[in-house]
Amino acid sequence: MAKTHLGEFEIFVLSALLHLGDDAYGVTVSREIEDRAERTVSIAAVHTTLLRLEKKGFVSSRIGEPTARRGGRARRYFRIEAPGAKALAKAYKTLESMREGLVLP
Amino acid sequence: MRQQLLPNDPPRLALRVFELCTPRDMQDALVGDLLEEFDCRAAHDLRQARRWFWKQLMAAAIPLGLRRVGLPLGALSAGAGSAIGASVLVGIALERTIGVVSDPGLALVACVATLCALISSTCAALAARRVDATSGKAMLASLGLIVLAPELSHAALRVDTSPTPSLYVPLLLALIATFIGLLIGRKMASAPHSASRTGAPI
Repeated sequence: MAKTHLGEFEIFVLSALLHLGDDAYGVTVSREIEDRAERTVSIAAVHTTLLRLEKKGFVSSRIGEPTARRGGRARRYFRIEAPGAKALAKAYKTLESMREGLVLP
Repeated sequence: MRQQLLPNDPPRLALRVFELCTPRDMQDALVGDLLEEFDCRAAHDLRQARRWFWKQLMAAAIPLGLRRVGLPLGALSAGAGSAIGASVLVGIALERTIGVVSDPGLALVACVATLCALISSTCAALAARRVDATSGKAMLASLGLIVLAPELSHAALRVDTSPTPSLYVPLLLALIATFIGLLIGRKMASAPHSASRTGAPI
């Protein structure tokens, strides 16, 4: 059975998918994470994570149209699926409960 | 068909290495994304964009490369781990038969060697099945154990496990076991779980 708990980067990626909706592919996901989390992101790491999440059934993907700007290569759009949304909600809930009662600097 | 009509070219070498390292199932999407982002950055500052491209390569080459070759390497490590364990055992058996070394602790040496081979093979098998960032760690652990196996045996009993009449037999066994490991790897590669890795429909 696949693990249902998420790592930090997986949480970032799934959250980015929710923010982006139908326009979620490697470039936009990495930009979204860079903007919101203020950290440098490798596009390859985003793709590796997305494929791992896809194997777990947390996201699905579809191939877009190839463009000249991309050297004739197609975009691969990703979308969060119900098990992914559930795992993400659980991860946030866990973080919330861990944070509860803490006085952070 | 690839059009390759890019307004600003990314570093050719870096692009080629990316194409070589990237697993087939993510090659088009990943390289396309890199080219798109490079194009966007190059419109503002070409030098900075080229630097960014190289940085992306440096951050990704090893994990991607491991992911791409993880399966045969895992099988190879499994084969090598088993081969080393088997070769130590055969070496000990030959030594006992020929009578070069007679030590009551040899059985323990065999146990240590077998245990190391078992752990390394398990790590390698895990690496072969889960080809992601953790596979590199598993393979490193496996290789470390393979290297350590004879050393552990030696340190445990201060017995020289590498003398000689048995030299060619273990080598032959190592080759055979490695070959078997590769065959297992190929079989695993054609199993359903690797469908997405070989560019199957999404």
